Amino acid sequence: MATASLKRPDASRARPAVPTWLLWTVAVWAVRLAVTVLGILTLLFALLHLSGDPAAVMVGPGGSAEDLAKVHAQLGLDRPFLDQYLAFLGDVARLDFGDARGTGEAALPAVLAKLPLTLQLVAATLVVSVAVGLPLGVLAAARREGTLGRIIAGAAALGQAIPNFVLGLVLLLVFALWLGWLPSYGSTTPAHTVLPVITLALFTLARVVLLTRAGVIEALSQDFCRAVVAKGGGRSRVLWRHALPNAFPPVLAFLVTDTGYLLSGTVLVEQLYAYDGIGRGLVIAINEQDYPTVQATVFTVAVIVVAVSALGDVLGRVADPRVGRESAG
Amino acid sequence: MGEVIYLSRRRLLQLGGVTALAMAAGCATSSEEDGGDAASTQLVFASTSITNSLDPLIALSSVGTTFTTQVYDPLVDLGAEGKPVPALATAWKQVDDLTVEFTLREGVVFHEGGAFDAAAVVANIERVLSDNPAFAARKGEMGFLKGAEAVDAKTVRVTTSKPDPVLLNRLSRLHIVDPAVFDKDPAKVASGTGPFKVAKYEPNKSIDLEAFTESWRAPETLTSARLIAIPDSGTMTTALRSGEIDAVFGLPPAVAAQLKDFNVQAPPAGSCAILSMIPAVEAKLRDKNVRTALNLAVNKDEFVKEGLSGFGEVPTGQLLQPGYPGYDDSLKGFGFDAAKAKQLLADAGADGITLNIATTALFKQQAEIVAGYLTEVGIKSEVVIQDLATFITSLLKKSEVPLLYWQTDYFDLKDIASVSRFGPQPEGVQSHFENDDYTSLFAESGTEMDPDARAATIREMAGVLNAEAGVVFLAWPKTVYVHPESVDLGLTPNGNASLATSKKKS
Amino acid sequence: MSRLSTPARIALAGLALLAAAVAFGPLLLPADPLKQNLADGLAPPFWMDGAIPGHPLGTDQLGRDLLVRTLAGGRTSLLVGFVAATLACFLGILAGLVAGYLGGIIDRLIMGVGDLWIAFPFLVLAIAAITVVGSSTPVLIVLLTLAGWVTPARVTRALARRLKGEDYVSAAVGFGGGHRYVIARHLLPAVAGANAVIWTFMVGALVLIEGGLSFLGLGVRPPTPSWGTILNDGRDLMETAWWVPLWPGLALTLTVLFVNLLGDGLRRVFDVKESDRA
Repeated sequence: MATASLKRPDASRARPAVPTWLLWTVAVWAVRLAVTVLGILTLLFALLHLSGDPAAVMVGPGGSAEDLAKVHAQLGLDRPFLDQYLAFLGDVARLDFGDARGTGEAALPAVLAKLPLTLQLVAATLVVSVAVGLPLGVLAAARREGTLGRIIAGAAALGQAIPNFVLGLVLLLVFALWLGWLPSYGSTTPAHTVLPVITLALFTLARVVLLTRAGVIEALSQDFCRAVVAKGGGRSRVLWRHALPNAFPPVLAFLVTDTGYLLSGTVLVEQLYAYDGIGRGLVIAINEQDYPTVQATVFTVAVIVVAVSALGDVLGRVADPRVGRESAG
Repeated sequence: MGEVIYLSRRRLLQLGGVTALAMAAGCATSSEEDGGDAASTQLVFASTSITNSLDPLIALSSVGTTFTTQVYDPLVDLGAEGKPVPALATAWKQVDDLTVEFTLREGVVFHEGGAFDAAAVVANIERVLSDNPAFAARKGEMGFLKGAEAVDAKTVRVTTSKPDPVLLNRLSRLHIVDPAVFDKDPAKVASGTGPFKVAKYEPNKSIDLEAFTESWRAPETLTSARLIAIPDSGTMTTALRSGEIDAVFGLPPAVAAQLKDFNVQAPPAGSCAILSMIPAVEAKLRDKNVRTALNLAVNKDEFVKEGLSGFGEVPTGQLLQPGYPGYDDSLKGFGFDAAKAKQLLADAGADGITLNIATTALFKQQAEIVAGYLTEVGIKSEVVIQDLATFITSLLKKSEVPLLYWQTDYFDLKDIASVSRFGPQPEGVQSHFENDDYTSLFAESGTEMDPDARAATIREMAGVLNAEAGVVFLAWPKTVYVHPESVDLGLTPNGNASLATSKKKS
Repeated sequence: MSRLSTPARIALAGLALLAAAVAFGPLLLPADPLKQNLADGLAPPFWMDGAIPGHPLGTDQLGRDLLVRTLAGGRTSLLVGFVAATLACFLGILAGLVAGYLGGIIDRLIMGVGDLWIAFPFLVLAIAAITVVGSSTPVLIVLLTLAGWVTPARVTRALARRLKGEDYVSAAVGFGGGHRYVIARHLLPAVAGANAVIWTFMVGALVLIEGGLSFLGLGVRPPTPSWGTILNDGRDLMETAWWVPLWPGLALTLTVLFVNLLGDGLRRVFDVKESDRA
C-alpha cells in the first residue's frame, strides 16, 4: 500500500488507497474463516468418533478382543467425549494436530509439505479451464445454430459424462504406453503433472464452456445487447464486451465451488497416477484411521477453500460492481 | 458507499490471473529430479501401497514384510513348510519349557556401523514388550514372550510366561533394529542388518534402497532398489508394460492372469480364505445342516479356477495346508453339491434365509462370487463392504452381519496359532464356532511343547472343525508376483520378495 | 410461448426409451442380472470371436449377462441420479435465492454453511454415514443430495444478487410485489438456465460418485447392479475386457447427453416466455 501511496500522493490524500468495502470484506472473511474452520473441525471430530475405531487398525485382524480394549484405553478413546473434544480444541488452537500414525511425524507440517503438489494440479486445471473454456463457450453461443456451436456444446456435454478414471486410463495407454512420451506414475517433475491435469480439467472445462454459453445466450436475448446491436455495435464487440461479462458471475461462482471440489477431488487422479499430494494422503489416512493426518488435511483444505471463497467474493464485486456497492453500503 | 474504486476492476482480474499463473509456475519449478531412469542394476518393485513406517514393529501386513525382508533380519526365519532356519541366530536350544537359548551370528554389523550382539537382542525384545499402542499388533504376535537376558555377547536367553511351542515362529516376526536408532525414531530412520539400507524414504510414495555390502547376506547383483506405491492396478499394469517398473506385487488375480507376456510367480500365501458363520447374528447357523449346506453350496474348484484365476488351491476341508504341523491327510473337502445343500437347508427349515456377507473392499469380488453361489441354493445374500477398522471390529468383537469373508493368516506364523479367532474368547465377544471341544483343544495346542503331541492335538482340532462344518472353507490363496522375462525375482521360502537374490538383465 | 426444439424432442424420446428399457427390459429378457456362471466369465460381445450365444453384449468377470445387468443397473442409477440431482438443485436454488435476495446475515449464514460443506471431505462423511446408519438407497440419495447442493446454491446466489439490481426487479419490488412474488416471478425463471446446466452435469456426476461409493460400502450392495458399480468393477479390465465398462459408460453418457439437450430446450422455452412478458 505504501508504494501505491508514494506513486500517487494526490490520489491517496483524496481517498484511501484501499476502498473501505475491501477492508470490510477482509474483516468479514477473517471472522468467517475462523467460524467455518471451527465448524468443520467440530463436525469432523464428531464424525471421526462415530466412524471406525483407530485401535482396531493398530491391533490388526490377527489380534484379540482383549488387545483391542487395551489399545482403545491407551489411546484415551474411552474418555468422555467432551473431554476429548476440549483437548482436541486446545491442540488445534496451537496448530498441533498430533503425530501421524506410522511415521510419527507431526501431521500438519507433513500435510503442508505435500500441499504444493496438489495446488499445482488445481491451479493448472483452473487456468486451463478458463483460458480454453471462456472462448469456446462464447464461440458455442455465437454459433449456437451452426455446426461448430453444436459440436462444441455436444463435446462439452460428452466431456463431463466421461468418467475420469476411464479418461485417465485411456490417456495412460496412449501417452505413457504407446507413445511413451509421459511417465505413468509419480509426482516429481512437471511432466508428471500433464496427464493428471488433463484428466482433471476435462470436467471443469466442460462446465465452464456450458455455463459461459448459457450466460452469453441469455445476455444476447436481453434488451441491452439488442440495443447495442440496434445502435450498430459490431457483433464481436457485443459478444465479448457486453454478453460475455453476463456469464462471469455464474462461471466465477462455479469456479469458486469447484476449487473446493478439486482440492478434495484430486483424490481420484492422485490415486490413479500415484501422485503424492494431499488427496492421496487423505485416503490413506482415512483407511488407517490416522486421525491427526485427516484433521490436519481437512484443516488445510478448509482454510484454502474459505480463502478462495473470499477471493471469489472480491472478484465477484469487481466483475460486477452493482453487487459490490450495494452490498457493502 | 460512494467511494471511487481505486483498484480498477480489470486490474484486480489481472492480478488474480497473474497469481494463479505464478502459483502454477512456482510449483512446477520447485520439483526435484526423479530417479526414474533406472540404472541397469536398480530394480523397481511396485505394490499398491508401501509401508507407512520404517519401524518393523509398526510395519505390518504384506507390504510391511516386503520392506522388512530387505532391510532387517529376525533371529530365526521360516524356511520351506514353515520350518525355522538360522538367521541372526545360528543355533538355539530349549533350556526348559519357558526358556530358549540362542547363539548369535558372528561378525554381523548394523547399517549405521554398530555391531550386532546380545544386548541388541535384549533391547529389541524389551522394546516390543513396552506398552506403546503403536506396537500392539506386533506385540500380539509375540504371544507369551516375557523377556530376554544376555548370557554373553553372543548368547541370549529368551523367556516366556507360559510354554510356547511356536516361539520360534513368533520370533521370525521380530526384526532386529539397531538400538542406536531407538532415540532417532526407527519410524523414520532405519538401521538393520539386512542386505539393503534405506537411502531415502518418502511416506506413501517410495523407499530407495542401497546395497549394504557388509551385510552377512549382501545382494548378489543389485546395487540399488526402489519400492514404490502405485494404488491403481491399471496404472501398475501400464507402468510394467512401459518398463518403468520391474516387478509388481498385489495385482488383482484377474489382471495378473491377463499379463501373458510376463512371468508370474505364485507362492502359497499360507492362509485359508473362509467364511466365518456367526450364530449370535443368525441362530440358524447353530444348525450343523445349515453350516454343511453353505460348505456344499460353493463350487470350490470353480471359485479357485475362475474367481482367483487359478492363483490358489482347493482346501481339503481344513485350515492348514500340507506340510504344516497337524495337517490331516485323511480329511476330504466338502465338494460341491447344490442339490444336497438345498435339501439340507429345507430339512433345517432354513430355505429362503437371508445371509449377508461382510468383508473389506479388497475382497469384494470374491465375496460377491460366494454370494452368487449362496443365491443359487436359495439363500438371499448381499455383500456388505466395510472399511478396515469397522471390519476388524466386526471380526474381533461383534458383527451385525452373519457371515464374514476373510483370510485366516495375516500373521505369517505358518501355524494354527495364527488363527486365534477360533480359540477361547473373553466374555462378551461373539463366537465364530460354538464348540467347547475345539476351544479347549486350541488352548491345549498353545502350550503343548512336545511336537508330536501338539500335531496330534491340531489334527484333532481339524477333525472337529471339519465334522461340524465350523467354517466355510473356500481356498488356500496364493500371493501373486508379476515381472518381465528380463527380471529374475527372488523369493524367500516364506513367499516374500527377496531383492538380495534377485537379478535384472540389462 | 415457443415449442420444444427438435433436438430437445429427440432427447425426450431418447430418455423415455431409456427409461422404458430400464423399467421393462429386465422383465422381458430371459437372463437374470444376478445369475453368475464363472465358466462363462468375460465373454466378448456378439461380433467378436469367443462370444457366447445368449449374451449379446458379453459377460462380466462373474459370467453375468451384461445386457440385462446394464438395464437392471439403470434402475438404481437413474433413480438415484435423477432424484438426488433434482433434490440437490432444488435445495441449492432455494438456498441461493434466499441468500442472494435477502442478503445480510442470512446470506452470510447460508454461504458460510456452503463454505463449510464444500471444504469438508465427502469421504469422511460417507464413511461415518455407513458406520452410523448403514447403507441403503435412501441414505445414498441423501448423501448425494448433500454432496451436490452447494454448486447450484452459489451460482443461483451470484445471479440473484445481480438481478436484484436490475430495473425490472427493483420495479416489481417498488410496485409492492411481495418477496415470494418477486422470487417466483422474476428471479426463479432467470436462474433456471444456469441451473439446468448444473442439473445435467449433476445427474452424470452423481451416478459416477454412486459407483465410487459402492466400493466404499455405501450405495447398492453387490451383487445388485448399478451403472456406477459395473463401471467400477470393469475399471481393472479396461485394457482387455473393455466391454465391461463400455455399456454402462455408454448408457450413462447417453443419459447425460439427452438430459443436457432437454435442459437446453426447456431453458429456451423459459427464456422466450420471459421476453414475451417483458
